[in-house]
Amino acid sequence: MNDARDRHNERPLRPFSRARSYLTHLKLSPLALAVAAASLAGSATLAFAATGPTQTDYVNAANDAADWVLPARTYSGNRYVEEQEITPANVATLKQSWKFQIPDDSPIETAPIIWHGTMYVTSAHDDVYALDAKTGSLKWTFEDHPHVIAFAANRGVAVMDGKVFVATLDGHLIALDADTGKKVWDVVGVHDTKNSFYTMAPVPYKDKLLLGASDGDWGGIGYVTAFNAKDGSRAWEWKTVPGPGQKGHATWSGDSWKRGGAAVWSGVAIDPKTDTLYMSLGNPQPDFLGTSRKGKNLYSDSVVALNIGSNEPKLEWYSQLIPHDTHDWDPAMPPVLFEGKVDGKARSLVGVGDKAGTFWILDAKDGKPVHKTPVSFQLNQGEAPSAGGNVACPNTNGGVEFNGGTYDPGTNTFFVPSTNQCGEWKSENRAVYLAGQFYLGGGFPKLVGPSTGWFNGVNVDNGVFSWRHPFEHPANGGALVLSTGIVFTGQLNGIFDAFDTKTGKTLWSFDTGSSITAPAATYAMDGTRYVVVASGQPGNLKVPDLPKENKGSMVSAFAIGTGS
Amino acid sequence: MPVRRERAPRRRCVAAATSLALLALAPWSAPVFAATGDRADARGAATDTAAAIREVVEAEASTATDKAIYVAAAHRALNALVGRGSSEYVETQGTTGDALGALGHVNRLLAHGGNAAWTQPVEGVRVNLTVASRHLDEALKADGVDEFQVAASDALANLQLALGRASEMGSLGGLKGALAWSELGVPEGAMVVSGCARPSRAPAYGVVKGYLMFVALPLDHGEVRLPQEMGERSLSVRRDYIVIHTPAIQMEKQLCGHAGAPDLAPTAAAAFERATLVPVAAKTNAKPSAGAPALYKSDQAQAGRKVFTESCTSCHGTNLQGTGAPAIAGNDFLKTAKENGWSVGDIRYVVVSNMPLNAPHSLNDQQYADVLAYLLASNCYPAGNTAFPTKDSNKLDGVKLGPLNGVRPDDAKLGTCAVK
Repeated sequence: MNDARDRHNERPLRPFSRARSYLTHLKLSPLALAVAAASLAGSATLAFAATGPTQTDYVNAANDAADWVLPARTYSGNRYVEEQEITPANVATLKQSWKFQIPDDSPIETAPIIWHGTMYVTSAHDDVYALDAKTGSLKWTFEDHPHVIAFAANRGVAVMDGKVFVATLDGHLIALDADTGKKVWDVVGVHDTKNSFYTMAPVPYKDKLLLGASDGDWGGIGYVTAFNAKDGSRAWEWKTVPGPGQKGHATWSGDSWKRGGAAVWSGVAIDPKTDTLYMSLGNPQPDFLGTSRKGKNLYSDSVVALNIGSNEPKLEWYSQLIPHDTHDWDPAMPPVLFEGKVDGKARSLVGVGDKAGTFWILDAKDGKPVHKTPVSFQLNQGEAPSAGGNVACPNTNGGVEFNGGTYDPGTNTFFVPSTNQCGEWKSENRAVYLAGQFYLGGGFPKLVGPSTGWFNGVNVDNGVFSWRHPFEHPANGGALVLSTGIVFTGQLNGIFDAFDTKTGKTLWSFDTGSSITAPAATYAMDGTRYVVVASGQPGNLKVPDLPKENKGSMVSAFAIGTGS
Repeated sequence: MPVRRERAPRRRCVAAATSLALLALAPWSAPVFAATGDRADARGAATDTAAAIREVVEAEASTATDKAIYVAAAHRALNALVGRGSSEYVETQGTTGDALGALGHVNRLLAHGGNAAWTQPVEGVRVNLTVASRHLDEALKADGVDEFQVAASDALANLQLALGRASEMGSLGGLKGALAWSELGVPEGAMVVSGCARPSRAPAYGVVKGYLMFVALPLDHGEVRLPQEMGERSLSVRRDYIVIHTPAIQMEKQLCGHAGAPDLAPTAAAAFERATLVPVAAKTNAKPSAGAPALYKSDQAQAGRKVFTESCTSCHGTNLQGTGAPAIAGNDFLKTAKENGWSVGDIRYVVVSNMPLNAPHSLNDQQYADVLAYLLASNCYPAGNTAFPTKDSNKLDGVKLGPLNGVRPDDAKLGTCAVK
């Protein structure tokens, strides 16, 4: 599907994708299917209420260059798109075609979902906006604005079978009608609303929504829940900290496991062929007081592979990146599943980065490290925070952050932004649990030293840099790779860049005017390809030397040769 | 968050709103509904029509007997309607109005209008302006003052209909109506949001199918002015903003397919006055609760205000209302504190060990004590004779935080007290 015309021809069929999958299940011959499709196509101009995307659309997402149906496009979590419209030769003429000013001016981390010409984005306070993807005009708003426990963030929605699902800061999972934004159902998903909330986008899988609770710095234990999409009832749940009698429980001293953290913050990757769910788990707690939780503290700071083929998830493997973390350096980056070449041989791999500034390539079969590449400035990583205070690098907001990176099969390179910062940590001699407050055993570190970023191209063959581009400011904007040889990323200072995947040369830059802490996406409508990114307030990622003016929260769409 | 539902505003509130003259909303860009020119034409027509009314009223009120004075007034009124570019324009001393005149603006509007929501009422404006101009022609030909008075009175009646009078229900007609409840009333560069959703962040204009359904104004941005008379149907006061519903909200069911009952609930005049778009903290009626423990000295709270402004506002907001971080004053905070069982000692522990989040331990003991005094004062805890301690104190562990007597914990705004 590399041609605009092909995509165009395909469009009238798409409203019937559910019908097609139904026919597929009947095992009709390809000829019969073609006849059925043709007869359906004849009536395809009729107006249709929002349906889909369906499980078939998610599984086939890599072949649909017009839509963007999952937070990181596909179940593999790789923001890579086969397309021909935007190329290194014409990207310099990329223009802003529209801009939508997000009314709730806040730190914006939303991964847009684009389906059949409608784009769904969120604000930090869980407001959902449905936009016309061609013009940016607002179709509807759902306003939530719940109680905030610690900080406001929302990383996007799920769109499934005509519904939009949003998970909120007060621990609710809410289903909305995709056409109107009206609430269909609303359930409380977290177990303890005092110290748990949601920031991640729900992930649709089969007839369920997978969702991790953010409770890992407030004295909870991490868990991922599968909710039935039809009514929000609970199908299964998996806890990230092993309880008494479970394997790994001995990695926690005393009762420390009870408030052990290891939250499921980030997006996930799924291999639908084997029903395997890959997750990056958060830091252990109390974050900075390791002496109160002696041991490796499994499965904190680990990548885990779970078989979710039944309602009793089974741990296939785990790979702990940082045993006994004392700096809140968890792998905030969602795992990326990809087929890359190592030493010239094709391998199934998992790419993941942590806030300690290390980018890891793991074997997807068993989680064994294949390569380990430092991508940020690192210092004193073996020293736990002391009462008097000591310096280590990166800072808590440093290293590889929550938008992660992307594998480019064209160059066998993994592109990932990173932040160089150092922090001064101070531990306390006790950690007090207070419902609804941080459970840290110290304070978050004070930013010291540099506050810059890198955009890294890591050669998967050997784990060595292909090229690196320095940034004046921290970089948390993820990576979007176009098959023509372009990689996009955004910075905290609002600059949205396009680089040549082969050389690292800057091909195009645009100043959005507000901090980019959201991942970019791309889609096509009526023969035009768009690249879209949201930006807003820097929030917790604020650093002293950012531009003084912030133009507020917005979604910006770009296309070749249109707009201003 | 709780939504205040109160009674409809009395007439004096409308006057209060309109006296706020020009608009000063944030210059954000947004999808543009009405073209810039259309809005300017609507306002131009209204200004010219008002000028014509002024001329006629002044002439009618005059006790002069010189016919030339009346004739000149009628010419000036007519000039304001037809504009300087018209063949009907007669050079007269003191002429007001612009080149296009009210009719020129209206004609240009209607040429663009198509099926816009405001086309029909503006068509009515054209009819009334045209009839008024014929009456003014008669006035010019009048044989005596009496005859002039009759023609001028007829002209005045049509001019007032064109500009827009409030009905008994308070709804505005004519140009003022079109400005009040259609997209013509959305100022250049203002934030536009869907008129069918609950209002989003303020300031913003809610528009659907060309109808201006509401104007949402922030409560913490200092003085905010309305662009024009709104002919408002109801007001609702929310946590951080006030929503003014235009008469178009009555068509919500037709326009949006649902009736937004919660937002149609009437609002009290008192609430509107309290929230008259000045900073919350300075205007709140809340007074420190007499029954609550006095844990700090008032000069500490004042010193703490400075500390807060320098170190805390970027996350917790200028009014402690919370932006990226949670609210730490008011109803939501005090209710959460009660539910979670927080003592003042707990809050001291959190602040002293974790705050500011990006630089804990960066304030000295006195500054921490002062900023905690400010937090208590902002939450309507009274000042006393004992200073807030600079060290850990068992006494504070026994004092539970929560909504206080006499500060209306049901009201989001009233849980916050000003610290001057």
